[in-house]
Amino acid sequence: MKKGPIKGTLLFLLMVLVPFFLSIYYVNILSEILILGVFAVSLNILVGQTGMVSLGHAAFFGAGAYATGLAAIKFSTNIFVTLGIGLLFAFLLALIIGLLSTKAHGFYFLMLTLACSQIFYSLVYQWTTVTGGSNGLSGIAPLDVFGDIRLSNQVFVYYFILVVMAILLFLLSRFLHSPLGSVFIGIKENEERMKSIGYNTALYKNISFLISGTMGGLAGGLYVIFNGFISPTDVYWTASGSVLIMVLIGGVGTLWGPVIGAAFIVILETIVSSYTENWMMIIGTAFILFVIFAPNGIVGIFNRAKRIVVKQQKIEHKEPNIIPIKQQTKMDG
Amino acid sequence: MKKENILSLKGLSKHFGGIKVIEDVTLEVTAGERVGLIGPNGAGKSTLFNMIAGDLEPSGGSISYFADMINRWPNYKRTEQGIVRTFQKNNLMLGLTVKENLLLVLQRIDKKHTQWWKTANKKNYPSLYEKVEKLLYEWGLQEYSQTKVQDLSYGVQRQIEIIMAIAGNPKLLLLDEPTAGMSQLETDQIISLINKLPSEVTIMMIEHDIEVLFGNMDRVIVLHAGTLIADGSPEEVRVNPDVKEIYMGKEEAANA
Repeated sequence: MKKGPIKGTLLFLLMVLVPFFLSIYYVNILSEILILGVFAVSLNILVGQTGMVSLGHAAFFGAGAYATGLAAIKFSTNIFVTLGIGLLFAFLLALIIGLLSTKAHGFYFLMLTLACSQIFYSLVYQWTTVTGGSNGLSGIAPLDVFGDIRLSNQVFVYYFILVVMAILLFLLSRFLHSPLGSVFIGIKENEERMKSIGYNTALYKNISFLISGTMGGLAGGLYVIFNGFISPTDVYWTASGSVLIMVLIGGVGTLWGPVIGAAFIVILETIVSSYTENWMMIIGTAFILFVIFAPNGIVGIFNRAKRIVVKQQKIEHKEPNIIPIKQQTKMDG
Repeated sequence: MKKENILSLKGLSKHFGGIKVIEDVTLEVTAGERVGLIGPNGAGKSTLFNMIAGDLEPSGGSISYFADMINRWPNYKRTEQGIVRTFQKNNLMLGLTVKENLLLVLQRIDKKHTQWWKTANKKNYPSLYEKVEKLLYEWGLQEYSQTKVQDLSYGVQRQIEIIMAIAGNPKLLLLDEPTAGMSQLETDQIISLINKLPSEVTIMMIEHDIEVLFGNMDRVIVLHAGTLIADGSPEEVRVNPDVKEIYMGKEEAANA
């Protein structure tokens, strides 16, 4: 139990040191992994923990990104104010879409989230005066953190994202195994039974949707700070699809799975796209292989490998215990 | 002095299309009573339970719980207020361990279920975990505490189904064939544990094993084709000619 936080802290320190050793190119890739990691982690609350598979998560990413971007252009240069506005919009959007779609189950829930997010997409696409339409939203200047500290270069942005990610994972690691977290898992396992042991499951599903959507908005806000630009393609349903793939490849319902999934996809995309334009084909193939051979994702593979290693160690430990028994039987004979 | 009614059904009916599954059932249950419910297959016993528990909406009539008309209460609210049920077919969180299943019930009773900032373990929630361990000890299931429910035998799952209802602080406990598919030993164990429940807990139990009902219940209700045909003490019901007719056929009943 106590190994988790230590490993997490070590990883955090390692990540802090990265910009001192690697070029800005790699730092940017890491920033992208962290942002998509936040996005995938947020979807995992819904898909992995509550068992509600959504195909409309990009809407919240978009709401957070556009609201943060617009706030940065029009109101404020403070990062907390602008991100806060982004979160607020994502929260409100999640409230509306959640109330509509959590009434449905399974496939119908998926279709409703998809439809809602596509409505949001066309809103963004067509409301040219505010969102810039298909040109996207650009001209977002670096933001202030406290007083004079400004995220004026990509390394600072990386550190900011890293801190946000660390706080988020810390909170989630507590939440995942908390009493409320177990209510969500119960709903994933058997919603009907949860109702008959006295849980208002509709309420908890909405809470899950709100947390998930608001965190998705946070990912969008971070993205716009990192990128300085957001366009409607990031809100399109294919973006929802690719974050879902990250969650599935990384490991549904685990704390680190979605982050690892995001890293896997981003790295694969970076490497493969330098050789061929058809990198989507490779990711598609990887996805199919995972679904068939490793349905629990990369984390599932790790756990299985760990179990095999632990078992072997146990067998080695047991051997001395067996010898006396053999001796005893000989003595009896 | 007459005890207050915990449950009263007035003209309760349930129709599926043209089929009348429950037709005009009126009955009252006083607090603390132990009521058995029997009837041939398709008599509407489970449908009646589903309506009392809020899993099915009645087509007509009313359900009152103490002084409240509860027709419009959703099932989770009825459970919160003390109407707790078990299912005819095991209906559990199969992917979770026995302990986790019970924790889900008990954390709601202890009002800990909305806490999200602390990991659920014995250190953070000592009283909750002690309660679970006590329950498992009482039922002799400690060894399965960390086992996933899906890996357990049907009989053990059945016991967990019942423990989960009992753990839910019932005032009115609805047991839908609790001993179905269990061995004689397991049946005896379950019945004795049900009999040990505090006397203020009202129990309604659907059961096919008539001996179990007649030996342990204060009152037996017989349903046939959706209507109530007999209601009385086990002795009264045993000699009721209508009941004999259903269970033994017309001529044998006449000869008996």
